Amino acid sequence: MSQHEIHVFTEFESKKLLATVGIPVTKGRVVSGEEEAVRVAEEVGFPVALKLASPQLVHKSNMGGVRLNVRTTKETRASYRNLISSAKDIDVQGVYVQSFIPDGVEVIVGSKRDQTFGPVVVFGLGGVFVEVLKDVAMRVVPFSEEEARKMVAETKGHTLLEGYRGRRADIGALVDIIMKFQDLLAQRTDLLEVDMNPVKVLEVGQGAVVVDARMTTS
Amino acid sequence: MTAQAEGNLTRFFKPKSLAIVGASNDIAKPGGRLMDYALKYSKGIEIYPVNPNRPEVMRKKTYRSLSEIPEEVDVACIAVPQTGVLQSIKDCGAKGVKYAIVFTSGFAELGNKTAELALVESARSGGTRLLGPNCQGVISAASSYIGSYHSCLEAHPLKGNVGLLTQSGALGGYLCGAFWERGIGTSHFVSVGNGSDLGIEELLEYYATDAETGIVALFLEGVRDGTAFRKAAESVRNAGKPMLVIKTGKSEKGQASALTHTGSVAGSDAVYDALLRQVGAVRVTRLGELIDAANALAWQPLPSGNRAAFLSPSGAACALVADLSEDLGLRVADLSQETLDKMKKSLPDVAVAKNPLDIVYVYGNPNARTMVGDLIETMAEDESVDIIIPGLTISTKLGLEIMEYAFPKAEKVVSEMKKPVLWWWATDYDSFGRLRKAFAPRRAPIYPSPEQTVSAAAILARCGEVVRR
Repeated sequence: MSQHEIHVFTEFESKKLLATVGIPVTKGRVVSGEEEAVRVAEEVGFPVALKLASPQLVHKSNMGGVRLNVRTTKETRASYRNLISSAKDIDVQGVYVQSFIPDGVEVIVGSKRDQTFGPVVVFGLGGVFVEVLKDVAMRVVPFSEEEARKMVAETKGHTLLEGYRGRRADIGALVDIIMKFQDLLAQRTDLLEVDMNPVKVLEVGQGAVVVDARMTTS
Repeated sequence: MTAQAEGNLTRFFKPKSLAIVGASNDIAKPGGRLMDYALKYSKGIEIYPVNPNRPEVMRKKTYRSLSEIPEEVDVACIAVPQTGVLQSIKDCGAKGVKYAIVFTSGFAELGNKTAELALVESARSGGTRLLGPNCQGVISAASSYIGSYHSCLEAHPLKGNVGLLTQSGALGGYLCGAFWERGIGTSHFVSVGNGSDLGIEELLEYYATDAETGIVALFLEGVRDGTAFRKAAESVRNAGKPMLVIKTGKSEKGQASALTHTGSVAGSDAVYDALLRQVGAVRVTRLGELIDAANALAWQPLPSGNRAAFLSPSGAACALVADLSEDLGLRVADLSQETLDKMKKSLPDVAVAKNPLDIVYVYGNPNARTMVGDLIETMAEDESVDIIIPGLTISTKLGLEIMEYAFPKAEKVVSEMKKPVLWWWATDYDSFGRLRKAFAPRRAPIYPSPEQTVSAAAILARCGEVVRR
């Protein structure tokens, strides 16, 4: 495959696609004005997060293109203006206003299309667990729900899900995301790489939600 | 797998007739060695040498061409120079030969893909299935059929239940010989070489259903069809057959990906690792590890867990095996009070009944001859023990006297309690060779070090887990 054929999905596009198979994603949308930003923030409910929407920004947090835990209308306006003025030099599609999830254990669920075996699902705890320690578990699609559970349990970091600061995370909801993700990979054979990073896994009974995502297609 | 292949692979493994194209009297040549080994070891198979220049090879009537052979030919071994292979394949088609094994190299493995493609196309249009090129063929001890000239055939093929499948001819033959040398029998060995037509996937599928094969040992460099491989490997698992795999390429790193973390961790080898785990295959990294594990699998029952009981006359060895168990995936069994009390009866007064068990001393012990056998039995009777690992460090002479009593005890543990017993014996190289010869007829696996034993036992436990699943 040659480089120019690869298409990169924005966060908003990625989440829209994930939602088609029933994977829970943060509520919100991309806006192009301050008033609209406030409207969306009120729609999804505070706190919210504002992110510059630009195909050029791959690592948003490194470039200051993100405002998290925005709690009021006033803060929303200020955050919107700051983001827009900080992005003079880049091609911006707008600002992605979305609900902010303050709690939960951060995990990564991703996939890659292997040349020999087809799509592979990768799971790991967020942050340093994947990026530095490479503490991940992998399965070749398709696999059963039992295998999905085993996959989660295989990582060294899974103890954080079993009981972090006395709270048990909703592993069932995480497994559900992994199973639905397999459906998407079966439907969309053009997906090359997907990162749902992070997925926030809340307390038992409260589910899990994709906070950020990106993907490439051929 | 095509319908045709499914029906016919039986004839590939159990041919009634074998033609050797390029047959020679010179046993320095592939065509001479093929003849020599085929005549020496094949039973119930008609052998037809083919050579346009000789009326006889090794006192067998020789045909000028395949077409002159009056009877049907199931398998043709092609041992002619590279430039003559294509014509031989065409001749196979004209004769209606079912399978051709091409030993000759100089095709895709050296970048000569066009020549290989021509072979495949010619074979396909002639209705001949192709093994190779660049392979070491087939050694079926189960069918007393030799279509190979690997030097492992200097030894007599030993029939058993290990099905060996490799891409490499050299290492495949080496493994085959190493198995036989230890008394481990093989059902079939196939080296697919370049795998241009008959591949790992299809042959693995045959091993899954083959009644002669109970264990699969696979040395893999890569597979062509991931989906077919997965399906075949699952068939092996579903047939309840343990599968050991060496897959080379571990040193290849995942490609750095600017965009996703997933991309950077899911390198090709990591995906193989995941897939093998998923299909219940046990991946090992060393040839010795594969041989040791196959030895245990071939002779011993699969344990129902990973809890091991250890005994040896060395306190240091006891500490070592406990550490190794932690690392390699065995657990040191917690013995019941009842077991410990019973153990005391066999032990010298100074010894402490526990696991791992230090039997303290052998020489001068009045129970020396019966102690090891009795302790194995007592430990095995404990419900919390799945595997028994006795080790000895004493002389071969006294050792073999001890074994006279211990063998039947261990055999009872194996046959009645279905618990594997794996031995280690730390001694000099020559003595170990003698011990191995004494142990092989009793189907008692013995290893020269505690670490090899614990490693083989851990793999046995993992295979047990997979098969139970």
